Amino acid sequence: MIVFEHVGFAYPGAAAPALDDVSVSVSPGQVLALLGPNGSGKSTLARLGNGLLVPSAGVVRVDGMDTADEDTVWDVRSRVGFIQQNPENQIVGTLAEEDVAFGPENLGVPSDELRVRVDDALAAVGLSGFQRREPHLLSEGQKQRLAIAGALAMRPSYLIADEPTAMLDPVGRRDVLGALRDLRRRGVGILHVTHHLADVVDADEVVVLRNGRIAYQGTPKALMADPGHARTLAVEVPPEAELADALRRGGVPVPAGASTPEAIAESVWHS
Amino acid sequence: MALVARDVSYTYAGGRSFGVEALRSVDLSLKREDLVVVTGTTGSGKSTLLRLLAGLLAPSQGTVAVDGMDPSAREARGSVAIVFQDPETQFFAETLHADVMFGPRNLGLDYASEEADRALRTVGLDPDIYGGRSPFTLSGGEARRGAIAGALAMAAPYLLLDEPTSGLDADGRRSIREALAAERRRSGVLVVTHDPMEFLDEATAVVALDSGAVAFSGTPQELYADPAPYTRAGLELPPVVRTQLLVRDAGMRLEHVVCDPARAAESLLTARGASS
Amino acid sequence: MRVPTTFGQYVPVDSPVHSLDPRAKMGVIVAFTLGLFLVDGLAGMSVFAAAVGVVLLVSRVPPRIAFRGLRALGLILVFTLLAHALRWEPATVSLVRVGPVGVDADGLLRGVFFAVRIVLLVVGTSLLTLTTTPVQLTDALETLMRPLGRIGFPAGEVAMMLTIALRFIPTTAQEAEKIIVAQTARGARFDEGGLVARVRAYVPVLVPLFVNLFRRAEDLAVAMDARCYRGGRGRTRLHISVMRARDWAVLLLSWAGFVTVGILV
Repeated sequence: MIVFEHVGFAYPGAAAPALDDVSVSVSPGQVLALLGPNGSGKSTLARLGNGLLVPSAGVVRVDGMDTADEDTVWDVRSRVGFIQQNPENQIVGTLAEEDVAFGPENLGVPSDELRVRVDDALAAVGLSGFQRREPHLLSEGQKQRLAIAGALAMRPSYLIADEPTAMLDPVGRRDVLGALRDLRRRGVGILHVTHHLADVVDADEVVVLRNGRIAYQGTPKALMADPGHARTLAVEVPPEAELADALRRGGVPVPAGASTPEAIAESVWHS
Repeated sequence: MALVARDVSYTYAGGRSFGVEALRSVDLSLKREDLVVVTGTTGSGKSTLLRLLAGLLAPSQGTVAVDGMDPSAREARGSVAIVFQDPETQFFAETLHADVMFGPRNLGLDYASEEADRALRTVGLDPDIYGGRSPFTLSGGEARRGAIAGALAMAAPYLLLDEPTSGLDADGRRSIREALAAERRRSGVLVVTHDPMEFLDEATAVVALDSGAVAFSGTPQELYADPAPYTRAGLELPPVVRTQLLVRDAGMRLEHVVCDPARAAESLLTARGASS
Repeated sequence: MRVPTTFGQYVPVDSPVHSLDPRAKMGVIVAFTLGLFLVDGLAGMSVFAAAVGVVLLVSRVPPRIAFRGLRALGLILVFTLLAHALRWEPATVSLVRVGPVGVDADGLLRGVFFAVRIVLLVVGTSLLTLTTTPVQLTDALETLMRPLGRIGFPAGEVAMMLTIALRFIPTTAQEAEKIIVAQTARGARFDEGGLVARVRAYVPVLVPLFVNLFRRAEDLAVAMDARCYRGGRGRTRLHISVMRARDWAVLLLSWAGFVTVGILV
């Protein structure tokens, strides 16, 4: 588990702390969605999860290891993959396979095993056959999946994804979300930082940060069903959830789980 | 008086340039006070069309004319302003005001500074507060608006924008929509986007491209009346619209179809009241 | 197959030349260059031409791409040819004579010789980068530099820097093109006025380009940290290049061949 216990963090020179007394956790095979407006502290929390930053208060533990402990920080990072918003800027290799190999190379994985890991990781994100492609010729969505493969090749137990779909078109976004779903099925625990509730409707838990504090902790379904509450948290719900909510307030009994056009339409004409 | 593309094709001779695709026999017209939404999947030719309309590429066949002139001709300079994707990555000046003034100054406009102030006000950034700030210190939404002001300041009668709301949160997107609504009072606006939902309620026309050809062209209401050509182009109508179409196809009479969820709910509730 | 956008850029096909150890390839290039400068006369040169031809064929690199680099050299080649072939008021017999200028047969042959040498040098050496990925090249450099590590030279770090530079060249070029188009659309002119005006015109391109590069560098540093990069020590490689018998054989044969031909012919 990645456990954040009463975590606080302040950037040097900043007037207010970026995070204040935040406690959350991510278990293998589970998705924790982290939402919040810009400046709410969600990217800071993401970077605390693998020791890129260490908390100024409280403690972050990955499978029991304190991320502030310099002796184990590389072990921590090998267990916690990390991908960022801009797909282009996190690709190190000049060929796809060389980029995927970068992490395990740093871990000292022997080269015959590297081959297996690289091919497995590329296959896991649907990029089999892209081994010899040059990254700058891939679409943005493919680049982001390549970044996921790069994290995956380290055989992590967790993945922290910091707004992985923010710069993608609808196709790229769908493919990256699909790749993340596959990872979860393989038992990887995911901390998914995003602006869009729609990206994380099947998350196990949603945490909304505001000004560095937890403003909401619950399930995505509960948040979807209450767009008014979501709005006060500065969380965007998909427009169809807004529609369902407005219809409900107008007296149409739209079931709480109904979010597809078909389900909403049906409750309109059957009532 | 319009920006018109007639039977425009574009083929790449030799190397294919980055992010630009071929185009086949495209017709399009943008008049002042219009809001035209051009949509299509990645690689459908949206960026090429944008560059042709701005005179940055010359059509291999057909014509592009801005108020009767070739958009790349000298006398047409300043007739078409264009905002590329992520325009805030092109800031270079020390202050936002100086950056916004870059375009009008290049055009030799007499009132460059006043135009910059006006443009900043149009996008909702008070020139007295934001004008003196470094553009590199602005937040995401502010930076996008500041960069769009750089195009507005050129006072062109036609404004083209590529994915103007991408990557912004709800507030940021709303302020861009408001700025464009204000700008439409004085110029024609064309928006290229893969997510047209933001603009459909305001749009005077929708053009959907598929593999470089026009798959659909018409008003949003015409689109909702027969969405088949649009969906065949690999595009999806917003779920809110699809909900209304399902209700309409089931036999309920809808006054109008809209993207805005609150107004869509009103429309659906009225239809439901009328049918029961 | 995708055609490389710049001259000398890696052509991703499989061939015996591609699979040769990059260090062996570098060694062959050295022998080839040495021999090329030792050789005296067109007969010897034709051996080198044949060698380039065979390697080109085996490498499956389209000749069009291999010869692309010569376009930039056109002027130099013409100049080389003319400098040797043209004679001012020649006393001896010459092929053609226009007024005081004559073309000398011997000179022409010499000109051809030097021009061919340049062509072979360029095509031959470009076969290295056409058949070797930048990372293989930097890896090879790293192993060749490794002995310098004993005197404190950071071979691994230098190789990593080179790799990253190579990785971001195409990205930066794409970005520069985008910014130039965008600023052009805002009325910027890059082709007007004197030298100072032209240089100044590039400020609105260079400033955003550098700002974005620094942003990239920050992201990249985080990405590398997150993927456990801590310098060259302890790193393994996806492609470990071991000099196999075949690599040694090619290397030794090329030295023997090229240098012998160079000296004898």
